[in-house]
Amino acid sequence: MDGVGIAIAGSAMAAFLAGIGSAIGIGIVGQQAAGVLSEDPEKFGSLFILVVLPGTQGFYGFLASMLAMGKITPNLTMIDGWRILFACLPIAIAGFVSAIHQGKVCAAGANLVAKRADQAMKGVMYAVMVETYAVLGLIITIFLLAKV
Amino acid sequence: MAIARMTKVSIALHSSHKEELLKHLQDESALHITKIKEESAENEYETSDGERIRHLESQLNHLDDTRKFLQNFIKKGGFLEGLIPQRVPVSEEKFIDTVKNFEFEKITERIKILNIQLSKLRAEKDHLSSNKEIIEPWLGLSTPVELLKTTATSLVLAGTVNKRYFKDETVKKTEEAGIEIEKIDESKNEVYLIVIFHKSNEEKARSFLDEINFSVEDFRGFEGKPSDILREIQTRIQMVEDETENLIEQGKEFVGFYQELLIIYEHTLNEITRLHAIQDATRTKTTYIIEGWVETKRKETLKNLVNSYEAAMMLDIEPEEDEKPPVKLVNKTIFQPFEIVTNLYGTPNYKELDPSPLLAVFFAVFFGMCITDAGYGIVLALLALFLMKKIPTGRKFLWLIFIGAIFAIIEGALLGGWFGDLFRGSFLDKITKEIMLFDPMKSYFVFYRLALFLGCIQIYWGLFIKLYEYIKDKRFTDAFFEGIVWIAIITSLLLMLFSTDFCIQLNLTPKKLLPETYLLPSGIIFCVSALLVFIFGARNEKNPFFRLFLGGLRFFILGGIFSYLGDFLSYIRLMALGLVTAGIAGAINDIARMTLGIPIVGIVIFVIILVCGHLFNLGINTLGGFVHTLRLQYVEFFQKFFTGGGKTFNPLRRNEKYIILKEA
Repeated sequence: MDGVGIAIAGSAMAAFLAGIGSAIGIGIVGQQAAGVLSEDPEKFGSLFILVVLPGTQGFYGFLASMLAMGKITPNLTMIDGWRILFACLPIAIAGFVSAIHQGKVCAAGANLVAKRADQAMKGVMYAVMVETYAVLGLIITIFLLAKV
Repeated sequence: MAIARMTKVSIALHSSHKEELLKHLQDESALHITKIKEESAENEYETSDGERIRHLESQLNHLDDTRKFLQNFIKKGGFLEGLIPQRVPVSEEKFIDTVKNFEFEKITERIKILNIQLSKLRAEKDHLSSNKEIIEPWLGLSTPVELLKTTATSLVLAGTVNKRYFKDETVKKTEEAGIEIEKIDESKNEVYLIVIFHKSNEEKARSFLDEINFSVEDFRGFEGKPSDILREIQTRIQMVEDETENLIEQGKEFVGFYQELLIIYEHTLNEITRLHAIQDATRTKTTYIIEGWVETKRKETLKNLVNSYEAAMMLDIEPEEDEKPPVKLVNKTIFQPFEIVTNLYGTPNYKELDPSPLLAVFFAVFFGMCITDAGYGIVLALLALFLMKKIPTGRKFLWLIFIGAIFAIIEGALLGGWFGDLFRGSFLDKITKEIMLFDPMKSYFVFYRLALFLGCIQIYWGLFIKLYEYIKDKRFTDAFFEGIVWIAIITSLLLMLFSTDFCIQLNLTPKKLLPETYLLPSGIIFCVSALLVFIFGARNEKNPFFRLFLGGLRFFILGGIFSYLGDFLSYIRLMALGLVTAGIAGAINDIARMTLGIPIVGIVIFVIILVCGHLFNLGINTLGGFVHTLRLQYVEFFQKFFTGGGKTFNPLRRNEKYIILKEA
């Protein structure tokens, strides 16, 4: 295997791991939100924010993947390939795990909306707490890619 | 600064004025009524109001049922209307006229009956459908079902067997057991059978049937051949459906009165609100006494209003000792949108500063930085202006977005973001490059330093606000130990950081900012301040060892240097979010450019990808930018000085649930 293959693996991982995490996270909160919505369709607005929140990790992964792609040249050495792969890991893994947990927090937030719609934003704030670590992962991935 | 002064007042009125004066107060929306502590628990005069409330509430329920019924026939709005419930604008005259002349009972009664009839029809349809399911598999049976019964000599049973138990040899085995068997039909899992056996053989036959899990179908209540039964069921379902349709059509006729019904609903709700409010008053046989808070500057207006009644008067009274006035935020127009940020977090208490104007600039700058794209800023600003026309109730929020969008345009232009890099290679590229300070996609570290620098300013700002509040309250000891000492600690740490090579290792600066001579004096300041926190951090603790321990805890963890470290780092998110916008926008442009190679349709696909892609990116980043900017205010900024816990000023006022009165 040459460096290109390894680098592609890294770039792909950033996109698909964070993407899977976001998909699972939205899946969790989406089901909950649909349940709340069946009782009270007027809460769509507040629930909408909660449902899309775990989606951001997928985009962070996507961005990291694009940046890594920019580093891939036809004669990439094996070592540089590994470097790119490892640089992609922070957002790939932090994105994957945090999106799932954010989905759970958002689902709890959807329950909050069911009972106290006016407090929706507080549920959103808790979810943002979880997302912080995906943001930190993305920052490190970007910096590490800059060093390759 | 921006929390309204309040005065506590007491209004005494004769009960003959009750209705009218309360209505007047409600329209004025200036009095926050407080509950008067009753000396005697029982009040004999309350009953009549209580009855009226119950009556109105049941009326409200009927109105709400009617509203829900009719709502289904109102033309549905788009996605936007689904996102934010709309209120119908109504003029004052229309409101008064409707309340006076509109006979809503006829409609609510009619809809009530319709609803009952409809639910009966629904139940009947459910029943018919389940019968249909029972009979459908037996269509192959040509005998009337009432013949499937015990005769003098034999038993005839209809039933099903799961396919798992019904194998080829089963038929043979059944006949060996002395049972006549006929297969009528089969479905995915079941076989439908008719079995006949002689009475003398019953025991043996039954035990065999149990073995193959034969489950008997009960046709009680049915008569005739299955095909005839099905036909009849279908006719009846059709009838029920026609009848339902007919009833719904009847109900639909009232759609034209939807707005009037909303007005009556609102009017009823207003009266209930007033009656609930008066329950907080004390009363004797002929008078009511209401207590409450009014904004000091509106006191005179209210007084004039009350005095215009013959038998009513208003007095200033002293609040009780531990009583806290309700809080209303009053700000200059430009700062009003930022009250949303404060209100989402909680109400400040009466004595502290309103953080809304204090966070305004930071909020706008940070929000802009999360977007960092002039193109997106323009689209967002236009969108906000457009929506302001469509959704008057969300105006304050849209202004907040608009101000943020303006900052996004400025910051985007400075960092060269115009729909990502859409203008790359065109003549516009040159112009945008002229204004650009640096390219965040290339110079990550400049962006990173900028984010940290802005964070640093906001943290200092928060610390100085805290210091100001302590001094204003004349709590000078606290001002020194909690304010000045901490400012000294942070400052000396920063000075030390920038006078060593450490700041280069952290990529904070390309080269050292300060000469090493700064190191020693700032080190001394740091040590002295740290010592002060250790010793005086927990000033109220008596046990000296515990006091030192708590002081240490305070220094490191409880809002100490490690939380400051976390606070500073937290601002890096601004950079990450800004890069996400620019990065994804660039990716969209790249994907779109690939399609330009396709002849003819290429340009169409190019435009479609650009428009959809950028709108999507704008949406997701506006949301992300908004919530992360909020977090920075709440977690990093508010923690420095904000106490909160105030009670929101909630005057007796008109409800605006479904309708909103148009200004004349």
